[in-house]
Amino acid sequence: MTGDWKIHYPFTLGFEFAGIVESFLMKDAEPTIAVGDNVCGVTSIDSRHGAFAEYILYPIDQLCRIPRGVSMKEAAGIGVAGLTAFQLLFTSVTITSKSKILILGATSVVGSLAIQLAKITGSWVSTTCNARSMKYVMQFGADEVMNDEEHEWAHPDKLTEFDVVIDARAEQDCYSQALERSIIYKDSVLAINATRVLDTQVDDPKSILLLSGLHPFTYNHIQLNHLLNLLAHGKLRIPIDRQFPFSEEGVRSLILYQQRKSFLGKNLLLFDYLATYHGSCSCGGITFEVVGRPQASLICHCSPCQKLLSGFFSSFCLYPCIDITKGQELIISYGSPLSLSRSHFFCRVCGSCLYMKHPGTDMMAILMFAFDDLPFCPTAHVNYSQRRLSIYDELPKSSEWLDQSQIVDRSN
Amino acid sequence: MLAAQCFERSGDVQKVFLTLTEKPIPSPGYAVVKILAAAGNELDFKVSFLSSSLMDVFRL
Repeated sequence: MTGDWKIHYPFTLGFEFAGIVESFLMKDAEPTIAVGDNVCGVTSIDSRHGAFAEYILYPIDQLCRIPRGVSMKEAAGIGVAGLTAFQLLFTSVTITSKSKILILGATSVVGSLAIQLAKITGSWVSTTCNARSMKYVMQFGADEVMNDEEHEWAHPDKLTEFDVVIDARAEQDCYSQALERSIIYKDSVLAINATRVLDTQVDDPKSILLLSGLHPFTYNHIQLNHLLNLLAHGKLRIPIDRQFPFSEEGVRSLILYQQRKSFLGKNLLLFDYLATYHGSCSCGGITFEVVGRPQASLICHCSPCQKLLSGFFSSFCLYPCIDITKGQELIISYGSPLSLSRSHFFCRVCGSCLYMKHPGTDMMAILMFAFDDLPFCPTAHVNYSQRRLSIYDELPKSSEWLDQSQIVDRSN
Repeated sequence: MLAAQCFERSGDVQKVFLTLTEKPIPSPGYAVVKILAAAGNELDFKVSFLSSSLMDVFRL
């Protein structure tokens, strides 16, 4: 998007959000959403309704429903960077499985998402970053990572290997820098955040395509839905750097931190009622966090839980997803022969079981004692007909698994 | 409702205020969404820097 923009006062900051539908009014069509749905979207600069606020008014037909398995944090962070990367790769050019792509600036969120999207397509991807960020960048799956400070990529012999070059380094005059180096581009160059657009004569203008502007993407809720589904299926990962509280100091700190440009991943603003809860394995090699209250907190008496945990029962909290914040490589899983739909996830060092996929739900069952503190109390017994120890408390007891209406109720 | 807005310059960025604003009222075709998480991006800084100056029109 380019052009002159008029700010309408009072102007509320923030462009990307995730939240819950509280109310709506339809015009003619059947509603595509319901009150209580988890949704996300991106607002525009010409709107009075920013995302750094408790509520936002947003067009129903532009809202995206957040699929199960995607956290509020991921949904809030995927919009601008995800759509920018998607449109660079699939709208401005059309990459294929045979494309060779160079993505400059893998540490930017756009760069990291572009790498992953290109790899999903099957393209061969090379990327650049500084020496300190090599390990961080490797996780996104590029076929080649070059040290940006050595300018190996800028050699014409190297550069002409590629079909597409994307400059995601967020430098203001990357295009001019490229021309000064007399680099011959084989196919096309796309750059984001460049302000000097095609102001230099190019011998073959068809060979160079340059996107420019502070905000070059076009909001497209169908494309955003596609990105959310990739997140839900674990094919795409959005890095999160810091989280700030919704307060005057929190918003100011977020804006200042963004200005430093030394961050790795999206920076988020979280609201008080979206508390983050932390947990870890016994040795501390694996840490995780979840956002918000669980869908349910249960004590399960089924036989597999008894066997696998060597106890009378298991106790866990149900969440749509879990964010592993450290030690992903230490996690091993065990699929129980007692049930094909059951898997347990352990620390390979200390053997602590942290969470499991339990039959009866597609949510993550995080063991209560994996939390660093114990923030939730059980709200029901399930599979009580398989009990080996009778419990005399006032909690409801279900002989089987809960039905869906009980799962969606938030527990205390 | 509370909303973050900038009206005064204070150092590198405008001073951010959480101000009380009117809670949105649903209108036909629109939904009121209770926000649980929001993400920052470069545009927030640029807008916050401009919002209290006389230059309320800017070019992208």
